[in-house]
Amino acid sequence: MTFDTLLSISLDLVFFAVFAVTLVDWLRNRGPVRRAVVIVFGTIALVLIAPILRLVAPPLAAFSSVITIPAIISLPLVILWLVSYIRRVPRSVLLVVAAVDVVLTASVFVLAAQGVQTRSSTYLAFAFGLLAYFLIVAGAAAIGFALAARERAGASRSRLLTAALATGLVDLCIVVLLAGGLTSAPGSSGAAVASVLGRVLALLAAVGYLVAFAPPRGLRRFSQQATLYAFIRDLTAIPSGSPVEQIWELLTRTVGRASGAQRVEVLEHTRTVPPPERGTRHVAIPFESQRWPDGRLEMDLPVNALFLEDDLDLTRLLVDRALRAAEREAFLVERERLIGDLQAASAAKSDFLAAMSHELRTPLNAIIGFSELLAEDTEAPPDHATVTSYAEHIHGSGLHLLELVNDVLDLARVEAGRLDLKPVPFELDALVRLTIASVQPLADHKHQTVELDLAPVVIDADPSRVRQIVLNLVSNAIKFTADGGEIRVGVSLNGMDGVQLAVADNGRGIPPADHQRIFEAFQQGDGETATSHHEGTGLGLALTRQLVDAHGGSVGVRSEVGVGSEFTVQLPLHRPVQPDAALPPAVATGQPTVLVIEDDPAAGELLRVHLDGAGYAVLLATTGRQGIAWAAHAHPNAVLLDILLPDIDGWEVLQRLKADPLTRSIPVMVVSVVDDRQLGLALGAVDYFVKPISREPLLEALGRLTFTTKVRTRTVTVLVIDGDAEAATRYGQLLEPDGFRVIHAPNGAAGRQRAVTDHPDLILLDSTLPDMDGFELAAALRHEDATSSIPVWMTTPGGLQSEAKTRLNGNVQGVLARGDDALAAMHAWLSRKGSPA
Amino acid sequence: MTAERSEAALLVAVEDEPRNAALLEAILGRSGYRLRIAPDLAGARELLAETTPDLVLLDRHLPDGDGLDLIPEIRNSDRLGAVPILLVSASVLPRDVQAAMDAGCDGFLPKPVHVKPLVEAVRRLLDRNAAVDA
Repeated sequence: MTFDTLLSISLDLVFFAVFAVTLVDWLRNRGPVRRAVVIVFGTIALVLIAPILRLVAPPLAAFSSVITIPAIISLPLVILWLVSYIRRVPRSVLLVVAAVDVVLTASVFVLAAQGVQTRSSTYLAFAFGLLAYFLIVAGAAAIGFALAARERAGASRSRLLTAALATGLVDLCIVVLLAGGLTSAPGSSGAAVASVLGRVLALLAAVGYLVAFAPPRGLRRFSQQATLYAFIRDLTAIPSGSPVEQIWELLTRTVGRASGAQRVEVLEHTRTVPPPERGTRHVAIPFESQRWPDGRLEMDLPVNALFLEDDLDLTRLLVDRALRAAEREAFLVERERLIGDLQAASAAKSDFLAAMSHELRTPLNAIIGFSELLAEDTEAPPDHATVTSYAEHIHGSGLHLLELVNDVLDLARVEAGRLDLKPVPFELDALVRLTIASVQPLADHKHQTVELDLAPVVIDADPSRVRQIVLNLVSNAIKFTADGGEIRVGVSLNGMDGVQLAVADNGRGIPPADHQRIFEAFQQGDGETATSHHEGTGLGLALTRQLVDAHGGSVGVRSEVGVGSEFTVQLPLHRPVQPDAALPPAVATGQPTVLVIEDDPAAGELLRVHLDGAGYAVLLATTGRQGIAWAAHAHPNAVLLDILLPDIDGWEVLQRLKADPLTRSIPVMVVSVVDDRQLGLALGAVDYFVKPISREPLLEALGRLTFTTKVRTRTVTVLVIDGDAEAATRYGQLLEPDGFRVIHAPNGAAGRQRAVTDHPDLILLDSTLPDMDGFELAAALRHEDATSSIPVWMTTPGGLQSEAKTRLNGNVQGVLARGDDALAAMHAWLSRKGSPA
Repeated sequence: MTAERSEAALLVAVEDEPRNAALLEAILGRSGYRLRIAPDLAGARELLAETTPDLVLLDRHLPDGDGLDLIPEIRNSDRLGAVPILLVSASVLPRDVQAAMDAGCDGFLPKPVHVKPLVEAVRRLLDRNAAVDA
């Protein structure tokens, strides 16, 4: 075997290795482009396989040309076909080339059959024709790749250029092989050189295609890294504190260039996007970011996108980088804004304190000064009239101080959202008339006239607060209007469901610049001038606005300096309906829920704190009706019920809860100052606490009702104490499929025994047992330390009468009447508390 | 001489809050001073145009402006320039006191005022001015 033969074979082996890589890549990721690449490789492989066949199996060599010749002639066609996946190639061109291909192949066989001499003119003419065909078609394919490369950018561009180069090499390889065949005699050194050179070229072309269409992982990563590094560099160049839009802009630009997408867009929030244009496909890369949970990058890629997975890989990396940078930017911007807000809030607080200090000192000045004068030890004590006048000054200043403190408290309450409005329907006109009467002396003192124009209107609002609003506005009007001035107060209907209260004066008016400011605390207009010269506290209008807001209304002012002012208050005729009153607020799932029905906010809050601390989710209803609605809707694990409630009393709530099949099975514990345990238990409460209650007994009682935490971690055991053996089977059939374990005791003594030894999570106790009374056993279980914490449900032949209920005496958590749907209710109750699943 | 003059001394107080004006009247009247009250800046200007007091007591937050604005007007007048000015104000934050001092008042009493310090401050400023005059 000669050296060049060895070389040829080694080169072939390398080529086949590359072919194998491509083949595996195609098998892993099927796709038309990869398939075309494999066919190109296969064709070259067929060309190369002939000499090997000749070497290893000479008899087959004769047939090898049957494979080799069509393969070699089809090669340009196959490459052109590959181009058609990347760039539009007219179908007619492909058809013409295919026809030429068939003609040429047939010609070769015809010529060979006729035994045309290798040196004959026919042979040469044909050979040159073949060469021209190769040069034109493969050259066109190379140009096609190059043109496609020009239209793209980034990695796609260099990969297509590599493909163009590889095609050029194939072209060259064919020329060399053909030229070698034509010019040198077989077996000559020239033929050997041509053969080796041809193989080198074929190998290079193969490597080129490999790089272009199925690049190994490392190479792929390398080209991605280049783009990524450039992107990170550009990201770093964006100055800190820039809007995130700048980052999005850079991202879309980079992605667009790297992938050749027609449209790249960053969407921070979900919104509909136009349908993709014809010939493009829509790809979205969702953001993995808590800040933009719905955000995504969208691109429209050509339907025949070349390197889709690679492009998407790279795009994901870019999006990830951009997100990290954007989150940091957004955080910085947000932090700046927060700092600004905090500084403004701090400044506002300082201003408020300064104004407050000033306001408090003004009345204190008279109080301290006059009282010092009174207390002074002088030789000539002041006469009675002087003392009276001093005392009057002190008293007046004290009242002013009190008013100030009250206003501050009211304002703080409103701002903390703790203003308790107690809306009732009342006649607004009557209230206004009464309020005006109380300040009439002030107006009389200044010889002012107060005109009333009051339409009869009934509104649904908190009368004491509305009185405060009227009083503030009218006393301001009196204060800021000169002696002999005129004040007009009007009440009128405003549309279908609103009412307007207007207070107008012909006082000195308010400059437009102050129209907003006067509604802020400690501002009474006149710029620098604060309030020391008025009896007002500087908080009146701020408070008025807050009170009106709390009623769902609005307040406004029209004023002209020197002419007068008019303040208008719009109030809704009816109290704003709380939209979610019927629906309980959402509570954390996975925790046992306790519904507290309690109107006293302090008591409710206390219960909430106790229950919160013990791991219960708490729903706090403030009226009986709300409590009933919430109980039906939220199905709490237990209800804590106050008796003294504003709308319907606790007794009625209890009866309604027990009458409704939806809520009947929810255990209710009464927590009230009303001490009537007997009545509570008779109405169906499971336990009764008299306020003030302490934390421990309450939680212990609740613990018997809810055992969610236990259920989650292990199997729940239910002990059935029933003389009827079938009962246990029934319960077993019902509960065991859900993972509960059911054990049975046929009589009271055995039941008591098993309760101690097996320590079940729940006991189902029949009211009539062969050896004892169910009520007695319930009491005994309650009083024995080992079993006192186990919830007991009693089963009875029918419903329990009131006196029987009192016998339960808080010893059982529920009653099931046999033969009705109570069994299913209990099942639901158990499952809700947390099935083992 | 000083004592006689003090007893006859005429004070002008610019104070808008009636109770506080009454308090100044009670305290200073008892000490034998003559006191005239102006309820705002305009009233003070009117009063100072016709009288030359021995001392001005000045409040800051007045219905028609800041009492401090009056200080340069007094200082720039040949007739009133040397009249001592005692600021009596409920604005007692450090920045307020600094503003008062920068404006050129001769003394500062924070509200609420106490009888003794007020009387002493008034006497001290009157004596000082009398000494300078003499």
